Amino acid sequence: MTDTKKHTVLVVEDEMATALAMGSALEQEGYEVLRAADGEEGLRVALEKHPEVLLVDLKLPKMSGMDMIHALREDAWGKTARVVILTNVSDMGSLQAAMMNDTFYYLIKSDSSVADVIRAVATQLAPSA
Amino acid sequence: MEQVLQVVAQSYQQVQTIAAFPLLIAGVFVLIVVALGVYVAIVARVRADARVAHLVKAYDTVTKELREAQKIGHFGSFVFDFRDLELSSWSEEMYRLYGLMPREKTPDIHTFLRLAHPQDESVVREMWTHVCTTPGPFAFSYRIVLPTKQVRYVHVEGNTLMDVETKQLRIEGVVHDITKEMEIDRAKSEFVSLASHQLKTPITSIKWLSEVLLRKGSEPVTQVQEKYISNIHDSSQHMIEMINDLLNVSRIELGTLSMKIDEFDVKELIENIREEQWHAAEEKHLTLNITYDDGLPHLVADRNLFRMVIQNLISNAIRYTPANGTIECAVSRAQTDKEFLFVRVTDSGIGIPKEERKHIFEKLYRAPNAQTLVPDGTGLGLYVVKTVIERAHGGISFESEEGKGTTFYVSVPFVWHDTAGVEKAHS
Repeated sequence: MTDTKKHTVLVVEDEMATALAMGSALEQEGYEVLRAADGEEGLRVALEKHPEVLLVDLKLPKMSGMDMIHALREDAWGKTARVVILTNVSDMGSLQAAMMNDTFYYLIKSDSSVADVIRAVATQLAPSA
Repeated sequence: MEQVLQVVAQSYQQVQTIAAFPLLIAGVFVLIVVALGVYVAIVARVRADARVAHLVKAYDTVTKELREAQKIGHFGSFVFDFRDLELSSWSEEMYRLYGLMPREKTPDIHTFLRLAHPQDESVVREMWTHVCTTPGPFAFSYRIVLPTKQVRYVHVEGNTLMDVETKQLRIEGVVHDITKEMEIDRAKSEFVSLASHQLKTPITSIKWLSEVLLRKGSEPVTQVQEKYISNIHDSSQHMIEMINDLLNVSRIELGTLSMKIDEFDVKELIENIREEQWHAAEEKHLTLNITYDDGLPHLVADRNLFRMVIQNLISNAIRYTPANGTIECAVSRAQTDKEFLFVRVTDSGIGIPKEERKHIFEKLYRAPNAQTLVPDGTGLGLYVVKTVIERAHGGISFESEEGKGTTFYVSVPFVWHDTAGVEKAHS
């Protein structure tokens, strides 16, 4: 298992129960978990704390996940930040729009398990990621 | 001599007198006949004129009614006759549909192309070329841009006829304004998408929280609590599958089921499904074996749709196999065509009764024995599975024996192509 004690993960998710489930599972795996409940807060925490992996829901209040990622990419650090998109969005159009100019790992939440989320974070942290 | 002349004159007079009467009779007879003839001719002419007037009136009425029907139904009719272009015509509603003023000379085929939406132009050109060169029925939909810049959806349907002697073509058809229907479909699609998102979000939360409670790092739970939490997890998983089925059916019906092609490892995806379904199988003490050929290429396909297919087949096998049964899944490269992935799912379940087999892929259909064993079920899973596989140009079949089990055979190409957009334009 990766040495997770040094790694921080930012969970940007407005659904409290979903954020709680992800956060608890990641903490059990030894990650330090930061939380944000909307896109604006997510962007602020990301630029302040420089987490190693960001888990970002697409549908967020105040600023959508897509807008948050675009704003992040304009920052020198944010350009190379590791992002995993989480969504229950059913239409591939929104997902494809989000991925248009960038390559993201993405998970359809309803089709994934908590174990899949942990695996996704580990994959992002693997040396070749 | 005088006497002779007198006799001749007298005789002539006598002949004249004798002949005059029949001549008179004949003359009168001829006059009567002629008069009768004239009368009959006049009557026939009057009747013909009346008939023509009646036909003209009937024609005018029918034309007027057709014009009104076209106006109410928002469809226009057209004829292009390549034997004699003078016989070509557009109805009034055709002009209105295309935003043009009625004119003496019927617009030609190029008008259809000129008014096509730029994004649809190449497909429309292809379709009209086919229509103008190939006898037979045709039907397709596309967008037009009116002179006012308004975009309108139209559906064109008709028949290209060929004159047997001259081999010249005559095209007859109707154009229907389907803008409203397309807008309704788009609204339905957006509603379904929103509803599925709104439904799946809280259910995902329930599922994930139950997974966290069951994870090794969490506080220990009692055996009873573990059982309840497992049931919560399985129920939420089942609800997600039902919502996905409903969503996919809706997309299929609306023609909005699109593919996102991605390259992925088949074994990794199926193992993920096994992990997900493991608990449901374990609860019934079912043996779930999955084998893979060595060196299977990656699939270049829609990951979510392929996942849905395999998940449906495996979860059905689990659902309809009584306790202590077995489920075998074999994933291989097809023997006959190496470009195809082959998946076989065999269970020792309740099987499908012979008389029900022809219905098994029908929407909302559930065999009676399946309904008895598992009362709740949508009957949508196999319908969606078959539709997706056929869209991917694959195939699905099955063998079954009631009381013994069922085997489903699925083959899909290793590389999928989404031709739905092209098919819609050509349909």
